[in-house]
Amino acid sequence: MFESLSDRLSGVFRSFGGHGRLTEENVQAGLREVRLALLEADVNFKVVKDFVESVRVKCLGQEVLKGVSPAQQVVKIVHDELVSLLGGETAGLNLRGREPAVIMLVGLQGSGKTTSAGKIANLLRKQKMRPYLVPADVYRPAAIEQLTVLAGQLGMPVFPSTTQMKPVDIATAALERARAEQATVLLLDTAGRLHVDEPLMAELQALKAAVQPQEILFVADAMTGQDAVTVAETFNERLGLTGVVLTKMDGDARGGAALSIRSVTGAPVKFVGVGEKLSEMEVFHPDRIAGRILGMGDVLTLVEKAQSSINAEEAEELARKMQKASFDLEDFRTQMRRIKKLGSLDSILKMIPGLGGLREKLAEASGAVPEKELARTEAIINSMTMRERRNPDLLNGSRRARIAKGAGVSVAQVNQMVRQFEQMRQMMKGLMGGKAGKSGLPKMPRSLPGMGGFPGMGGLAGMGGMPGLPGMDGLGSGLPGGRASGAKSAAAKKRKKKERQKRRKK
Amino acid sequence: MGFFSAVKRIFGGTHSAGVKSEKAPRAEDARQTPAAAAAPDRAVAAASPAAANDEALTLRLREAEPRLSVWLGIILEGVDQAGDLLWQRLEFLLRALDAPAGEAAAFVADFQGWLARMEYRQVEEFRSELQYRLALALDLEDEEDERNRLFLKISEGLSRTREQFARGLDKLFAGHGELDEAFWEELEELFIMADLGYEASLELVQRLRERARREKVSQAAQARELLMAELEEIFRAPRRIMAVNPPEVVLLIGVNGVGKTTTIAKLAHRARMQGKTVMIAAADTFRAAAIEQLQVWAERVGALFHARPAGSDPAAVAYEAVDRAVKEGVDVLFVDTAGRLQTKVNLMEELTKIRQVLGKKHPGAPHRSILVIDATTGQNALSQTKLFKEAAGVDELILTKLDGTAKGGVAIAVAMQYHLPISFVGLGEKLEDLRPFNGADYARALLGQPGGGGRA
Repeated sequence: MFESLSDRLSGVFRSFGGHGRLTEENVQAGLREVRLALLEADVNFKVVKDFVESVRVKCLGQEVLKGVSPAQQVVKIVHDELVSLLGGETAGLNLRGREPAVIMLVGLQGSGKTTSAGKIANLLRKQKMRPYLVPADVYRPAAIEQLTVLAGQLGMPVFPSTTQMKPVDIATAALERARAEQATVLLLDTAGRLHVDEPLMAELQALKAAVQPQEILFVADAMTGQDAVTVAETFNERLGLTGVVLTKMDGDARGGAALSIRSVTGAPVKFVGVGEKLSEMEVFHPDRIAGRILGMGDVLTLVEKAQSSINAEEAEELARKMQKASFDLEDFRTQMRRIKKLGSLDSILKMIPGLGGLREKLAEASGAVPEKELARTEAIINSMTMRERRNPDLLNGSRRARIAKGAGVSVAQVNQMVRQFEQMRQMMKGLMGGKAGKSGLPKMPRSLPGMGGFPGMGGLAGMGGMPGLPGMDGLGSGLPGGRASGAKSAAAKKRKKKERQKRRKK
Repeated sequence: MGFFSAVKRIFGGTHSAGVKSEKAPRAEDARQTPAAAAAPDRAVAAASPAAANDEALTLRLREAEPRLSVWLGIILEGVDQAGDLLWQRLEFLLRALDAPAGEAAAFVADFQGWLARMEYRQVEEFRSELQYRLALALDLEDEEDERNRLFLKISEGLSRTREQFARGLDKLFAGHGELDEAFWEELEELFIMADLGYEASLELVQRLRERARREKVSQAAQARELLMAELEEIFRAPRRIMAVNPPEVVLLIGVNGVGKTTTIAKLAHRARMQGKTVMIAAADTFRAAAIEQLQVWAERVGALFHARPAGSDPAAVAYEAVDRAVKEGVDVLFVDTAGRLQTKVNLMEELTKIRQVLGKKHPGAPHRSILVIDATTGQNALSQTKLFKEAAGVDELILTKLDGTAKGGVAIAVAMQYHLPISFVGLGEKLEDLRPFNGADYARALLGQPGGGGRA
């Protein structure tokens, strides 16, 4: 459904021919794509309008830099503009002043305030602070218990609120208590409320007056739609927000709400919730989310994820193997398992710029869910002995029959898998042999387009530590076609090859 | 236990016939033509020994427009807070509607208990809940009266939002003479602002253009009717077999924080008010204090409750709950599940497992698998629907928190793309604030054409 912005833009600019200059005409057409990309990411309509206008002004008359296509140039301008709008640099908490510092969390119901309170406390403790948790949601049943349980899991002190108490009384009493316990930071979790709920909004103002928080963080669901603006605006008018926590970013939401909220309130996003575990809260990086909003993938996050599950020595070892084409089925299986650890294939592909389109082609070509194909491939390899895996040449007819039985597939499927593995190995040899970097590490195959001009993409050097990817690149075409005929998957492969060549030309 | 629904059951012939059967026909009449049955003869007979005051009331009830809200207005005249007078009047009304004394007393006692728990005193605080309970007990919910309440509630939500859709439409419809390009473009923008998303907006505009051509409409002023008709068609749900082999098992699924637990409480409350026995299973064993939250609700609405300690296998909880529900002969079992993002493969597989386990233990279960969607969600709702449908099957949608945004335009996009019926909408935090969804009414509220009674 989502095509990346760079793919779309290249389409538009191609139709204009090789203009070396961004003209009124081609910019206008390009900006239409920008507008759509932003709308699909749930950025507020009005914010989009203003944004597109400012990009237009920046684009006009710019010479296209050497070695960069007009599409790339526009994407870069858009990206830079997004980053600067999102706050440019990572904003931290401002907890200076009186101790204990007070952080108040506010937002709609179900945005994730309580969980965020626990996660932020956990993050702050890592920075050598002593957090104190205060549940002040006396309305939702068991909300107090929820934070108390989280505090228990974290081993942190928590104020013993009860539903009979008034939130303001809880807050003032908790402040006393936190001081007595020598906590350095107090996290006040408030009840979820609608921005139009007058009494409850007044209660928040009273809370603010009572505890004078250094930080008032607005907790927002990354999946929020157009209304994010109205809600954030109201909270900001009533309370004066100092920051935003964007939750549920581990899903496939593009998080356009971040941009909307930032542009109407001026409050920077400070944290991003990326999982259900208490450790899964990250400091916000504007450039990463800018990439995500534009559907350009989130390579840096992928790199970090990959690095955490693959260590550098293993990577080098693998790279050597690939170059010598001694990459065997056992290595293949190891890589496959690693990739699985990173998340679903779908979500990985999505993080890589320019591969968005590949996802669909992949599904089309294999006629089935890639995950299932992967599982079948793994089952086939699992049914081989170690010797067979190390040396696929051993696989004669009777061995293949045995493997097919063991994996619950037909012999033809085993044959196909082995054949495709062989092709992949050849391909890899070609890729690695020619392009191996000076360090001997495999560079990312240059099938990733549009990366030249991006800030932060320098981090791609770190891709060396990511052998999973080249492996996967092979997988894309090497994926057993299942019931699909060999001819069909061969056609798909051809298409892919063509694509790669096209990209290389850029 | 709602007496009239008990009567209805007898009529349906599924449950114990007998005791109250001779009243059944009249109750059925009361449902279909409330005018004729506004005050049956027997009610007058029952009221006659009472004070002259009661007689006057009876007379007024008989003359009044046969609507629940009107009856309630008469009954509550001069009553401003909970007390003996209120109980008396309530029993009087129920008697007048031909309810058996025992069940009327039970209704009143149940309501008293609820008031005490909620600490409500003033009539204005609980009037709407009272009407809701009466409507459910009397099975009057489909009446225009009740549907208007839903409509008003949605409109109310709409009027609160500043950049409201309806106002934009009004301007658009008034500002353009002909249906020209500019009109369609502006309309598309409006749709996008209501969270319909780009593609759905485009498609809807396309459909409207075709409809305009077909119906030879060329004036912007008439576009409202076009849009209304189109929306009604989008929201028209196909007929389904509603009958189930009891216990009916209802599975609630959705991403984190959409309000699954609260929605279960509201659904359970409804079912209780309709006289069903209800069990709630806490298969959200992951989120801290989720079980406690649900338990509080179960107690409040008077439902049985099945749970295991936090961290247990949710499928096991579901399995045991069905087992217990079958043994104890409850009517409806609601299974709560932990919120999960649709992209988490493992968690989605867990959902598939829960579904399979339910079906294995009780054929046909889950009879309804409900996806709960937060109305403030943007385009992600499409991805949610798709992936949840793949993992656990989705039979219907419930749209929550519609009171905050009153746009929920993504519901239109979801309905267009997946053809799933929206069964309920959440319009507030109170138990009564979960309302059956009616596409026509919603369209009417969304398009801002206030007033006027029933279905077009």
